[in-house]
Formats: sequence, structure tokens, C-alpha cells
Amino acid sequence: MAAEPALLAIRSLAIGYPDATPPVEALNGVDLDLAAGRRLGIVGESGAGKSQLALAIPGLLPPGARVSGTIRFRGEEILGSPPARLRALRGAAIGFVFQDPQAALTPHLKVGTQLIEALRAHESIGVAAARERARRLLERVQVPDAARRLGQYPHELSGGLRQRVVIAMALIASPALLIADEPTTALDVTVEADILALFRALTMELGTALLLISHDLAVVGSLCDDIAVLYAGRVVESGAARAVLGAPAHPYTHALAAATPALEASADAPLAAIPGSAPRPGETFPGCAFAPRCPRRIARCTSERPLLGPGPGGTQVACHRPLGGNR
Amino acid sequence: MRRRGPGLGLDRTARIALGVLALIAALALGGPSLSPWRVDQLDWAHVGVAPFGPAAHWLGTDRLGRDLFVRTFAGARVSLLIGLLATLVSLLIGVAWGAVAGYAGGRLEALMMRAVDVFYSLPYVFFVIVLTVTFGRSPVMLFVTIGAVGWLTMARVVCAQTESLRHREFIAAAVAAGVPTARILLRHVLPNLSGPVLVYATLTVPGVILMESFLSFLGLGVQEPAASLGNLMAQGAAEMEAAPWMLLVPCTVLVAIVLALGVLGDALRDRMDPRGR
Repeated sequence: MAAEPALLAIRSLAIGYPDATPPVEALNGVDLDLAAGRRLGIVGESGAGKSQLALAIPGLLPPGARVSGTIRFRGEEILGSPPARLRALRGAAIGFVFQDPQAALTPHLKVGTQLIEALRAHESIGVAAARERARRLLERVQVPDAARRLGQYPHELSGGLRQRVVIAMALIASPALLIADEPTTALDVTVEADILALFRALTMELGTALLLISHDLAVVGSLCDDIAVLYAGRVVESGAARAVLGAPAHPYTHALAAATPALEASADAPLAAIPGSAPRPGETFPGCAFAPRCPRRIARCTSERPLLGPGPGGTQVACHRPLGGNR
Repeated sequence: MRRRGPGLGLDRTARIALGVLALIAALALGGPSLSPWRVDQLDWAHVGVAPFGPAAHWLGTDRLGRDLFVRTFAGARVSLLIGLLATLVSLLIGVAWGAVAGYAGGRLEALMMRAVDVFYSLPYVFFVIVLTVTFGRSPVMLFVTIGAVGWLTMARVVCAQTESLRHREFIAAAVAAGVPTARILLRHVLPNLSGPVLVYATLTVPGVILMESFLSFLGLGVQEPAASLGNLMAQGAAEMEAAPWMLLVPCTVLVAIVLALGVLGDALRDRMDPRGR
């Protein structure tokens, strides 16, 4: 990693809500690196802190959040940057795609108006030129009849088209990093595949780095170069997508992969579920947070927190008894 | 999609309401000059005559022989003017104050809305008396004082509405796209407020008109011999048993204004909703 400084380098990121009842630690000691043009997937269950991580990067966390650690973007510390600096980065350097395309577009403004506005917030460009850029970008994200769509309101578009517009809006000022928070969760399965293919094509073509947040290991595995698995606000395993999916070392990653229903499985086959439930926000553990649900638990797991280190399968794993090891 | 006829795409009831309002407004502006009588002219030959009476007293006369048609529509002019201007004043202050407070949130919101609470707790009538005594009694003063107090509720409505909007994803999306705050407020937040603001404004206009009549009744509002719907009704109420038309004529006009504004506000709210019906 010495040759090329990472586009995004996150160190010891912690996010807490001390004023909430009970006080919540959403994220704890998270380290992540993302090089320009690469695709990193963050996987975890609801409440694991995925969205908190995504929102923290462009400084979009709610006012009650207490954040510590460092977030370096192109070498610049952006955590705690003044609002004006963050606003200049948002859209221009860091694009953001929200989960629900239904809710992410302002209902009373035409699609074109919102696209042009997002572009003109960062570039001094005339309305006509901006409109032309917006039309070309809509064509690029495979919106049919792009010129007419610019004059339409969000409610006149289907869910899939709307998500394409949201993606176009995030990309219009050519950011170096695109953050997508569960971008396909609200969509039909058939549309989901199209959108994932679009993400792949766009990031390769434009050289945009992608940080993809998802609860779906299969989605992340199909699109990303690297994967980080979050559990209860900590990274429990990270590494190349192939290694994480092919030879998961953490029992949680293994269970997640096993819980993804295979298409060819018979309908009678029992669904593999992870026993127990995800820790509630505010719950704390002296040892490993996954220990209560873990089939490989030993006494040490409940008393001592495992640290992230090289695992047997070539991934970084935080586990006292990783799978594939000889213990 | 509802089929849209001519005339702003409003439905039939709303078009009738608009027509009634337009008619009253036209009569308020031009009506008094149609009659041979002046607002303060006494006709001793015809004191307290019923509507459709002699000597072109189309809606009768009051107990001093003044023409009720002329006085009612001159009064409607004053009432509408005060209603509209005071609502405009409360709209401007209330929307700006509430939108800024609601969008800023946190400490600034708390500070701004507690200020509203403090103003609210001032005894209103006392406040108006102090203002009118200090600055003199005039219609201008009247709408300034009513507007200055009327914005408080508007600010609360707008603040609550903005606060719920602030947490909507499309605002977050606009912020994430780097759109400047002022532009988000003007383009993404304000138009979304137009529904509740419009509905509340259509409630404010008749509220202000009623407030004006109450103040006029106390002698703090529009002064004789000038007419307003409020002081006409106050006089009419005194003669209710002998000459009910003195109360009924200004009352009918007031009810028509209030009702038409309500229907119109409802229809406008429906039309503002981009999802259609």
C-alpha cells in the first residue's frame, strides 16, 4: 500500500450517541482502506453500524453523534472539517446514493431540475450546458427517452428508473468516490440485477471508487473487490472478496454465507438461520460480540475481545478460533 | 388523474367559491360608488328601513339612516384589506422564522421557538391596547398589530413542518449532493410547506377579520363613521330584535367570505399536491 496512498483511509473510527437512552456505540475502532477505482463492500445485519459508517464519511451524521478517529480522503482529514469544506466535497468528490429512490428525490421538482442543481452546486456551468450533461448522463445510466425524462416529476418514473436518476445525480459532478447505502434493497429482484450491473459498468468506465453497503453477502460478492464484514459496530473480517466468500474464517461470515438461500435448493430444505438475534444497540460485550450466537465459542471468547489479524484463509479476521485454522 | 377543467384546474365547488370571493371583492371595490349614497351620509327621511326599500336603499338603512349597501361593502373592503395585509405580515414573518428555526434545529431552534412562546404568553388584548395607545388608532396600525401577533402560530406550524421535512431522505440527498443550504431551504423545503401554510393562511384571513371585528367592538379597531364588517355587526346586534337585517346583511357577507376562503384553501391544497388525486 506504500506506493499509492489510499483514496479513503479510515482509522479507529468510532461513532457513539452518548445522549441516547441507553447510550449507543454504533461503531467502534473501524479501520478501512479504499484505493481509487476499487470497490469495497460493507456487509452486516441491521444495526451493525453500516449506514452510520456510510453517513460519517461525507459528514452527514445527525447532530447528536459523537465521532472520533480519522477519515482521510485523498490524504486530507475530513472528519470534523468545517461545513463549507464538507459541502464542497459532497457531490463533487463524494457521491451518495440512498436506499430508497422513492424518498431520495424531492417530489415537487422535475428530475432535470434536481440533476442540474446538483451539477451547478459545484461547477460554474450554464443551465443549457448542464441540461445537456444531465441528458447524456441519464442516457449513460440507461434511462430510455432521457430528454423527455428530464421534464418529468419523480412520481412519473418507476422505482428502477428513479434509482437510476438517483445514481445519475450522485455521479453528475464526477466524484472520485461513490457511496451507495443499500442501493437495491427497495427494488425488485430483476431490477436489482440491472442496477448492480450498472454500478459495475459505471465504476469501471469512470474510474469511480465504490463503497457499497449491503446486508446481502451475495450482492456484495458479485460486485466488490474487497469485503469488510461488520458485526456490532466492529469489523470482524475483511479481505479480498474471493477469500472472504471462498474461505470465510470468522464463524459469523460463515453463517452469513450459509444463510444466503441458494436458488437451486429445494423449497423443503430448511433455511439456515443464525441462532439468536443481533445485539441490540447499546448492548456491550467484554469479549467477542458474536460469542453468544457462536457455535465455536470457547471460554476465552466471552472474556477477551479478539483483535483483527491475519487469518488462515488470507483474510484479516477477529476471532480466537477461526475456521480453517488447525485449532 | 382528475380531469382538469378551465380555471386553474380547480373543481366546481372551488370555482364557485372563487366566484363568490371575486364578486364580494368587486362589490367591495366598486359597489359603494354605484349607489347614490355615501358611507357617512345620513338620510333622515328613511331611518331603519328594510332592504329593497325606497330611495335606492337596496339593503336598507341603519338607525341613523345611513345606507347599508354602501356601508356593508365599504366595510367589507376594510375587513378584506386588513385580513389580507395582516395575513401577509404574519405569513412573511412566520414562514421565515419557522423555516429557519425548524431547519437549523438544535439550540437555535430551541431559542427561536422559546421566543415565540414568550410572545404567546403576553396578554394579547393588553398588547394591542398598548400599541394602539402608543401609535394611535389607524387601520394600518390595526393590521400591523394583528399581523405581529398572528405570525406566532404560523411560525409554529411552519417550524414543526420543516422539522419533519428535515429528516426526509430527499433533503438528505440534496445535502449529500452539496446543494447550498439557502437553496435547499428555498427550493426543497419552502414549496413543500405551501400546502399547510396555504391552508393555515386561509384560516388566518377569516380569523383576522373576526379579530378586527372584536377589536372594533371594543372601540380599538375601525372607528365610526368609517365602517367595517365588525363594527357593523356590533351595531346590528344592538338592533337585532327590531331590525334583524342590520345584523344579517354584514353577517351574510362575512360568512360568505369565510366559507369561500375555506373551500378555496382546501382545493388549493389538493392542487398543490404533485401526486394528484
